[in-house]
Amino acid sequence: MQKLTIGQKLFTRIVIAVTLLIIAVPLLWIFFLAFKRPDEIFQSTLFIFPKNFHFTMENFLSSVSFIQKTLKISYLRMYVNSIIVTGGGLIISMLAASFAAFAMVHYKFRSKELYYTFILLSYMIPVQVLLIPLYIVLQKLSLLNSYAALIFPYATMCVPIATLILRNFFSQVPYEFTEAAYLDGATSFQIFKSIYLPLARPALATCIIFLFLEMWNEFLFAFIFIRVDNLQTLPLAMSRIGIGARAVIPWGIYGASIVIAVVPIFIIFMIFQRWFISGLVAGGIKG
Amino acid sequence: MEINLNRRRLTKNLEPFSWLSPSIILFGIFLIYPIIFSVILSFFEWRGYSADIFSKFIGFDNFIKLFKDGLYWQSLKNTLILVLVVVFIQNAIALFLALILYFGKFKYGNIIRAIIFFPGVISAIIIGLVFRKFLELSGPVNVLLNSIGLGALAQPWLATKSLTIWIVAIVTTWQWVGYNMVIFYAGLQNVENSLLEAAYIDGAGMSQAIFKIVIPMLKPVIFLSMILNFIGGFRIYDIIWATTRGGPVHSSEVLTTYMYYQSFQSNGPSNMGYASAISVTLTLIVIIFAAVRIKFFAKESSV
Repeated sequence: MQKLTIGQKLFTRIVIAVTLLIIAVPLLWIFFLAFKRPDEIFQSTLFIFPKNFHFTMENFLSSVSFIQKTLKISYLRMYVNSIIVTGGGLIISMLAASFAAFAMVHYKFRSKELYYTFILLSYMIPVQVLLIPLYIVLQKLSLLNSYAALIFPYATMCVPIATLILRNFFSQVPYEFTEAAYLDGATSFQIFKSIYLPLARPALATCIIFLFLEMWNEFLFAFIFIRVDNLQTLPLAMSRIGIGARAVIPWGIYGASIVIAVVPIFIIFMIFQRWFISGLVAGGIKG
Repeated sequence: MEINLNRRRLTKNLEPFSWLSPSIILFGIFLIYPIIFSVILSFFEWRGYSADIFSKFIGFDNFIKLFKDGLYWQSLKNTLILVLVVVFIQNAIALFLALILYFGKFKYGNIIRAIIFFPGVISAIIIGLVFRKFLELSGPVNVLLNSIGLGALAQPWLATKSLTIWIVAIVTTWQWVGYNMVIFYAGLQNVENSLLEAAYIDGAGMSQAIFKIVIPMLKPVIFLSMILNFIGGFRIYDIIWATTRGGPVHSSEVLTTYMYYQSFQSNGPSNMGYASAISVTLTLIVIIFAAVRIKFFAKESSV
């Protein structure tokens, strides 16, 4: 590639530096808010670092008890709920989607085009339009205020895009493998399990990451379908900070709560960033 | 065991459908039935209190009411503002950043990309909490403005009626620009280097090469990215809820939040039938645009 002139190099560096500042400053400000001593917070809202670099952990301890008191749930429980709901949704949706993707690649049947169009359309519909009827359906099935109230809707919403991604990937598996397997007398299921699944590992991984983020951060359904305190997921519980009766929160606790909610994802993201990025890109491009 | 040497002969049996059955069952219960239910409900009036959901058939009254509802049109307008910003401005910035990052030869490009991308990984609710504080009357933004003499601009940013939807649009762009940027970056990586080399040898400058070669080659990716943002734009809900709740006084209401206001919000009218009508219009808008897109895209890719 061509070498950059000094002017061009300067320009690019400045642009990126400004961008990084814009992205990082709000997050860093909140992050360091969590470590500042409560009395100094109002003196210097602009400065990111605590005065004299005097870090304190007391906001975190206060936050834990504060959350417990006002939201009637512990951080641990929040995380557990999110994990259960996301895990359940992932298992169901990945199973359904991989089966469906396999069917679309392995067989020829007349309604295939129809199904494909249907999935495409399902992906485009904003999920919010299902809010009212889903509520009624869940109510009729007595599933409200349970893990199932979220697991099944999450899975259903994610199956279309997962099917599209996997179908795209499966269609690249050379048919010769399948033919050879048939000659050996394999069943379709064996072909699925021993040929397609192992080869699709990268696509499965990116799919899982993409779906994981969708489900982990989901808010609206959790907000409407879960009305009991002990089943709150992370976004649901977080949405209750700083509103209404609990509007006035010491800034230190506010910051600490956010940090506690974000840090695990941050760590996971930093470790698996390549997967995350390719996952979301795959979700977009393949869809 | 039948040995099937013909490539994927048309199966007359039901085997493919057993593979599809988990998906179909899920869709049936949690997607198709609800959609049909929603459409039917839009022709009724139901306030959510009585157990008899379909007791009051009112035909198209909900839709007529919608037509005359100022708040509906305001929500629609806000939705379109949001979608336009997200489709055009967010993508433009993302493309610009991707080009800079790609051609700028940064040593730590991967980390830079990860940082810019990171906000998209966080829940919109938490992003909302962050910016609620950040844009507060006594928050850092206003403190900064005051300290550099622009104190006149200092205001409770999320409470200024005329600005709220734009602030929401900016925050949304802030959160997701990394996502589009990464997509463009991947597209750039697929651009044929040899083409660029040839152009350079022919004496083209870098900006010439970018505008005349790279960007045209990126057209499908740009198009795709715009479609993704388009679809995503209509779904935006969480960030609005977390920052303004659609207020103040419905100034940042979009169709999704307005639907929520009409149905489940505790201080709202609780008019489920009407909310369903709103959701039907939203679905129609998205589907019509989607149909247009599919036709358009089919034409593009068949070239």
